[in-house]
Amino acid sequence: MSRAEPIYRPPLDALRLPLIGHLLRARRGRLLFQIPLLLVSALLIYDGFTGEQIASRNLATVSAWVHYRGFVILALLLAGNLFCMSCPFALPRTLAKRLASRGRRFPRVLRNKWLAIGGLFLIFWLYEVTDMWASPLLTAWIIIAYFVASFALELLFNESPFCKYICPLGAFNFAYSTLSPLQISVRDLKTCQTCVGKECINGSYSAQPVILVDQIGDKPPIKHDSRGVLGCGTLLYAPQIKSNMDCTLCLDCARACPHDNVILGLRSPLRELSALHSLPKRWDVNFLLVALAFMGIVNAFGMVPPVYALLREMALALGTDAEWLLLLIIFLIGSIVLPALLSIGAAWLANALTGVPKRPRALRDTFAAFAPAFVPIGAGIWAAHYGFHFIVGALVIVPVFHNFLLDHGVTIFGTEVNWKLGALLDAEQFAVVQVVLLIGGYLLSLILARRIAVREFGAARAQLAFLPYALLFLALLLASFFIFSQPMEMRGTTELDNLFH
Amino acid sequence: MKHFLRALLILCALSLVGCRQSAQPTPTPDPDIQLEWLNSDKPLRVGMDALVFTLKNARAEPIRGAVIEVRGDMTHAGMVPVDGKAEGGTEDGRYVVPFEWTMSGDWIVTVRATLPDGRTTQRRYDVQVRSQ
Repeated sequence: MSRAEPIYRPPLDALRLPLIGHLLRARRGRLLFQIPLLLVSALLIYDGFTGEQIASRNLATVSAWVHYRGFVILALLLAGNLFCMSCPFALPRTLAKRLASRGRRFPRVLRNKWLAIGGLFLIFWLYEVTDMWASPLLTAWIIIAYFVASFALELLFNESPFCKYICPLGAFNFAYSTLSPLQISVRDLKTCQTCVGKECINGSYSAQPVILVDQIGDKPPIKHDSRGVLGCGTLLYAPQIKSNMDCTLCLDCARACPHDNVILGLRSPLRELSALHSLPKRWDVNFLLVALAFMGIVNAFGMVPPVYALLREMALALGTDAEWLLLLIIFLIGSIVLPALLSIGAAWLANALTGVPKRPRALRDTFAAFAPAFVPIGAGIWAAHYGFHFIVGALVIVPVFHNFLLDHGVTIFGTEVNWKLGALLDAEQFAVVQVVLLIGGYLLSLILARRIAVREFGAARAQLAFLPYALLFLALLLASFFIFSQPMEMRGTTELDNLFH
Repeated sequence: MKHFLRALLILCALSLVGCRQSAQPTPTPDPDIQLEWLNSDKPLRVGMDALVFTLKNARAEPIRGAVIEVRGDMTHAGMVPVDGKAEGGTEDGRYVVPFEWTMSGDWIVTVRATLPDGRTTQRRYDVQVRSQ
């Protein structure tokens, strides 16, 4: 198979579905998804600044920390990267792209996922240190910060560095969209090989084409829409896409393609993660997949009582009551050091057990080969956590919004707010779903790791290579069970205050 | 037309900021009313509880016939708030509010007292509730 050959022959193209397909491909199709979210963002910022500063009664905190997170993980598992597709932060980005003349490329040294990993680490740590979930004001500022960062970076650089290299939300979505059932591909590879303009990546009016093409072709020249269409913001070339990583599902490629050759195909959710060369053999990309699974555990650990005992012990041992420092240590060890040591250790052990001959980059290659297997168990952990918040608080948005309307004198829904609306399911009932999600993710990770072991080491030695990863996934599962079996606390800040002051 | 629509949108947004009114305005604490939560220092556990409040005037005389409303909100978004209420009070100005702590974690307890003469006062307590 040549490197340019698409790896999928999808049975279904979502862009050809009646109505929805037409909507997705429409010139302003993305705006139909973005504008509602832009309005919602404006509403959250407004209520975050002016509303009651109690998290459970404010649209900013309820929508951001209950609904957004629940919908995102659900959409990733059932369809694809729908949040990036509808991302309101990309609207000022588009404006900036039109304002910027000939921006520079993002610095080469930063064109990787390390900034995104740092951003994820920072936001999860700040979430704990600043009690972000409890502050509508802070939540509103975070939303504003996203808009400003997205706009500023797009103004300065001629690609979409914020989406591709920085945005923590995007990094999370990219990582777990590798498990999604939809992916961009092309219908006919030959069409792309003879395409002159490569509009899917260049756009039809790009001031600075990324792929320079000659003007000679055996087909009639393509006549573009005079208004022009943007090419791929994250510089993915449609016929070479083998992974959802870095795809914001903006569908600009489909709109820009003058041959109508781009598809949004249905695929097996495990196809990308088990296929060879789907993801580059790079430390940064693969460490993102590994680290996110561990971050899921650390994030949930911050909500259960044992974290207080640990903090107390650490405070005594280190002789400090600096909460930020103790949390920084826990997050550094749990989110960065442990995943690095354990996953690299597992790769080293797999190589040692199977007697892989010493060759340059053998460790990195094994690490990168098995990293996709961390995606299902990570997705299971995040879904169990975010799903819990969503299930127990999904309907709270109704009284909170009703209250918001009353605050503004709108009484069409009556003057009595029904604050009793809350859970879709009882927390105990959802515990069964959590177990299914955790075990399901664990089993899929095992299946993937086994497939990868056979692919990389051959059937005879696969079992030995598989063993360290099987043990590592078991440890992650047990850690998750321990955390999710603890009484969930919403959320322990008073305990921390009492502990330190 | 475009400029007009933009201007209209901005005006709407600005006017929205100006027209917000709190549905439950926070009353200025009346210095003549002393509202205390008597058993706030005991460890709080998930389940049914009885919150005891006292209401006195500036001369430390008990106030009877008032209404005490308690609202409990968890600090984390997405949790259903809990309400409690007591009316009348005892001879010594005590009000016992039946209240259920539905989950362990941090709570913001807002207590509002409305006196027979219409005067009100409000206090907020940040507390932690532990599992059984």
